Amino acid sequence: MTALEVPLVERRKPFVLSQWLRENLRYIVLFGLAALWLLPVVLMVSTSLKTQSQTLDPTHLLPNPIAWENYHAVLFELFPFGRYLLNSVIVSALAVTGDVLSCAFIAYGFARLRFPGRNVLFVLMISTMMFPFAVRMIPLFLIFKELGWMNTFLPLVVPSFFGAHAFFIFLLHEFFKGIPGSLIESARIDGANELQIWWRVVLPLSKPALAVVAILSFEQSWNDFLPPLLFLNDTRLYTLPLGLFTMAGNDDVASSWHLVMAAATTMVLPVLIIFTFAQKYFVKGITMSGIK
Amino acid sequence: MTNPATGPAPATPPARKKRLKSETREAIWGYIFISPWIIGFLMFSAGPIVATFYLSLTSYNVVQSPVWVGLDNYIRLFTSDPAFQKSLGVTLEYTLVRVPLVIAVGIGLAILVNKPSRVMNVFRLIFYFPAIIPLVAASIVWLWMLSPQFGFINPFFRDSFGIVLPNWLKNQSWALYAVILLGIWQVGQTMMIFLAGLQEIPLELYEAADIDGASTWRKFRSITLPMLTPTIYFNCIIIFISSFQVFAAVFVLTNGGPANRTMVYVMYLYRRGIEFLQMGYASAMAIILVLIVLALTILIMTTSNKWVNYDRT
Repeated sequence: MTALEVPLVERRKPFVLSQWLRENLRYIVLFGLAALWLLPVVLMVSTSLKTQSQTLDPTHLLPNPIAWENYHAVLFELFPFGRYLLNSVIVSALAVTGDVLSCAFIAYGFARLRFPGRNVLFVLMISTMMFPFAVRMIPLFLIFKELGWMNTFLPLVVPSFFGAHAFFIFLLHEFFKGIPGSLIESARIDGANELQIWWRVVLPLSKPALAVVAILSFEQSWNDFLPPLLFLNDTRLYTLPLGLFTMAGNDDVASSWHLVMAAATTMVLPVLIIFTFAQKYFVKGITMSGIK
Repeated sequence: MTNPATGPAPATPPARKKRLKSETREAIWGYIFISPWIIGFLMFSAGPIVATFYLSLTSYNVVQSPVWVGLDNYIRLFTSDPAFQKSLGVTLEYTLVRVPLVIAVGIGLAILVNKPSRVMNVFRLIFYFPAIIPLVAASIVWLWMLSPQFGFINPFFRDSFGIVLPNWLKNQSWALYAVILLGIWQVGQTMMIFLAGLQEIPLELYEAADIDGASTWRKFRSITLPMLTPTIYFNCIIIFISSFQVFAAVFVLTNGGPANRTMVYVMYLYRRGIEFLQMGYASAMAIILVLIVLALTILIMTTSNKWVNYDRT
């Protein structure tokens, strides 16, 4: 009714601040919070590009001049982060390969083959998820010491080849159960054995699930802190988390924050790159683990 | 042959035999497929757990072989180790403060970004991103953020408002909460799970409430929250279990200090077992940790039917 009385040229509503606030409250709050959430990341990168004298003025956001040489110093000169990066890449690549292959192999057995004791073993496997690493820590330390595996990557990698992550087996088990039985049956009738069915039929159909497991496995091994801390003493074998921790624990850390941040950025960057390319699998991983 | 009743008999035994054979074959393949897990289970999981239980009843310093001491370690833990009791208290405080905070912030952010639009996708990414930053790197960034002189927070408030803030990580009252802050920043995973939960709530419920003229708060209390209880429950268990095992963040940020104010359980266990080589004693702590986590998980599970709403379809 009132709208009709308003002349056409003045149809635009008068600007009322309180009303504008109410309509856009969600966005105002979101912008504020997003700035807060991003701040540490922005500061990490900006500090990593400052010279040492600029770090004395920590609230100054933009580095000027930009000190790209910090990365060179951290990776190759003052600190061996190039080495740590390589170690982390080796460990993660092996752990991801092991996790994907072994968990897919084991999950196929649990999901598609019938054998006596299957349900009991499956429950047993699920229940291992309840036990914190701390409970196995001391015997594992002793076992690996006995095997002569200390100061090698073996303790960080070998368990992955033996289905060490029950959760991944569980995820793939759920996925494999959803594959139509007719596909597997017809392969059997064609004379394929189970190994061939697993490799030629099941795995190609499960690429999205395998990608989710690969991403979760990468995240886990890239983050791993306590196991390398336990099993690696030789600084040349350090992975990124261990190298970063040692660097920041140093007494003169106050004078080298720019280098510490360059090292931290080096550790975050590969995750960011993978995240950019495989975003949907990250999200799928959360919903698969969260809703199931 | 001549008996008509056994006439079709010759046809059945081979068929049965063949079926039996294929069952056996399937079972053999089954065992082949799970065999890596059986080896891994015995070597890296069940074996070590049993070993921890055995070691917890011994005194063992790696150099000499384990000496049987019965329940001595457990008795000592509970009667003459104030540091153990303190670490238990610190971990409990950390958990009890962290779980509700992370749940509340997770729900809050999920509700804010629960709107289908391109801009919202960007906000979701921003809030999710810190969660995938490796914990040690994230801890290091916060170590710098919170450091009083060349960090960010304290200089910022000093220069902008003239407020002098405490030295968070070296302060008895603040150190533990500074560690919790890191967990809140990395809330992304929890938020995404809540977001998925929110999107499963049928829109008709809200439409009906709108017709009845319900307020936003009323809709939150009477629709969103009850419908979200299964997700809250799930997140509670996950965050709870991980909080009780907190290690890396504390190790980097405070190293247990100041004056053991942040000496959490797993860190104390690590000290005793790996640094002091009191492996029997640390094993007893590990067994108690399992029992606590198990007991509290069961407690949450058994009380779930009182507050979790499973009605949604």
